[in-house]
Amino acid sequence: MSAPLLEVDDLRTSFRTASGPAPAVRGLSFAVNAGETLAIVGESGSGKSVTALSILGLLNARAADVSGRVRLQGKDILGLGEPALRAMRGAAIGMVFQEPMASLNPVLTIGFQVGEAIRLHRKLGARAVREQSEALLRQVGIAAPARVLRLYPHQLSGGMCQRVMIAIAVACDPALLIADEPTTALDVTVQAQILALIRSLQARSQSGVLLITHDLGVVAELADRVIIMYAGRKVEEAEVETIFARPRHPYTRGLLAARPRLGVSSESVPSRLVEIPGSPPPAGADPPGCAFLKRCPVAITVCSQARPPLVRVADGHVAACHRLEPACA
Amino acid sequence: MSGGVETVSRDIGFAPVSDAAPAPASVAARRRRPISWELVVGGGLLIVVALLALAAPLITPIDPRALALDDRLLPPGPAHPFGTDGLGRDVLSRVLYGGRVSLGVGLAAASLSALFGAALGVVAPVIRWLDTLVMRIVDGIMSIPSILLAIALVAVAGASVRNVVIAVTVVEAPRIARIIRSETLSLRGRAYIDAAVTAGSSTWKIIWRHLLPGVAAQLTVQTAFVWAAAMMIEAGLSFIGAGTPPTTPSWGNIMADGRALWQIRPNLIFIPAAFLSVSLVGVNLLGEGLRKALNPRGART
Repeated sequence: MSAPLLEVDDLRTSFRTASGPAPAVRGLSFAVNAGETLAIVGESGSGKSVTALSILGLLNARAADVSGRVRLQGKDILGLGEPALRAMRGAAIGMVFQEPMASLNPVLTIGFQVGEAIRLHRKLGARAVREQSEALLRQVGIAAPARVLRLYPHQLSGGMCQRVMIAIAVACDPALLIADEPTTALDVTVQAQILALIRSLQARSQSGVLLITHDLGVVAELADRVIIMYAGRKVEEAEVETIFARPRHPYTRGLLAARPRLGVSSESVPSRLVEIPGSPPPAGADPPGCAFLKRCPVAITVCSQARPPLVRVADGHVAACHRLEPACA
Repeated sequence: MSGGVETVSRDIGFAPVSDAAPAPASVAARRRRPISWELVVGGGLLIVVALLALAAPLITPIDPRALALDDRLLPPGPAHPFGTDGLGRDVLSRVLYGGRVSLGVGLAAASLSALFGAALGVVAPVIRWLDTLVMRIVDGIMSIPSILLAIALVAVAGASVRNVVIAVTVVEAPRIARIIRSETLSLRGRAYIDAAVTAGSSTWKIIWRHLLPGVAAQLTVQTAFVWAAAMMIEAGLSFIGAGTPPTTPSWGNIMADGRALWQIRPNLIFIPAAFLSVSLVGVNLLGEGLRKALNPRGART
């Protein structure tokens, strides 16, 4: 098999704060292959969004230290200077953000903003840019592209805005598409449309997708492989079917159990939402043991003394837990 | 998306939910907000005063500097509608020509303050080392009372219309810089700035395309208020003799000339003061009207 499209090796990102460094990502390694969708799942503060920003070099100016190796198509992109990063952003990596309405400039037309994404990386005449913008909007399922190009963001619905954002992200056929919670701000019906759109674009272009989300429904819909993050580290990684069918880490099992489901407890007891008790450790703290210790239902003494290493539990399935033996699975 | 869905919804009596924009008519209606009275009255007053100043040669044939020692301190009358001053100069003519200086100095200083203030206020917060430097200098300038600083600058550079404009700009540009900087800081955190960066925009492109248009409304409003402040400072400087030189009439030094004689001829002070007051009310109302009209919060909903 050829080298992966994106290779992240021991990524560490830590923010400089008045009270010392606050690590957000603590040694994360993963790879995304062309045509594959890798989902990074975790709760708020687990470091999943920071991972995406680190890959794009967006944290360089923001009081953060990023170390490790990030290679895109074999080329190290973590040490790149600002001009090289700029050439890469948008062209090799496209990004879709969480809030489509806020991600478009309210005072510029859709046409200008889509056109800008093309002009930044390609030298084209005004007419060619317009034609290509229309083609892009058609590609993301907008029925009247010529008209939409003349509109302003506030004249579009959230779903339409997200389609425009996706059009901007894929304007220059990036090899990697990073989608940071692409459907969080949208209605459920629109969510399904956007997910279908991302899937069809990916199938056409064979690009890799790095999907960042906390929504396991989105994961099931879109992902090939899943990484579960907790407190800046990977705690489990497996194929999407395996994660749902045979989760091994207690945190993953907790996440799956916490999904709201319809009609499960319809018998007599009114259904109550399941939760994982407690909250993640604060950003600065890094006790010697397992970060999940305080919330773990199966913790034993060793969990507070040594950090569990990532171990291979099956083909393409790794997890970091001292209690992986089948007895507690 | 699919035509089928739309047909169905229409059949069951719902308004068809189009994913696209609302009808153009409603958009136009939302955009066209009623023009505030401040804008009309303020703009109107200002236009009247400015037209009077510009049309001075048409209104009065008398040279504002022509001395007529026989006609000193005449009360208002048919030949001199606002009377004459202690040197027999026609007050109407002086006030009209003086308006050119007062309004012009104010507008020039406000424009220059807007230019420098906006440049510093938008660029500084994007470049971190520059931000600290610029903002400390701004703090330093703002810690000195503006009229004192302006007096000192004119005293050093010499009294001339040009130096008054420069002095007022030095005093007022920091105020604009500070306001524009805070606007820029709040814009910089917006998702669309991050989105522009991830699309590959350079820092300068982001400043030009995203930050400057974002602060344009606030800048316009502040420029109007600085215009008013600049006219006040110019009048103050000229009144105490540290501003526009006495050979050039401006409302400030017309009042200064009339200072000693106001008990005999109050019109020497009240006429230029009335013009200055009306202009200040006009500019401030204009600024207030612009603030209401351009308020981004009103426009975005």
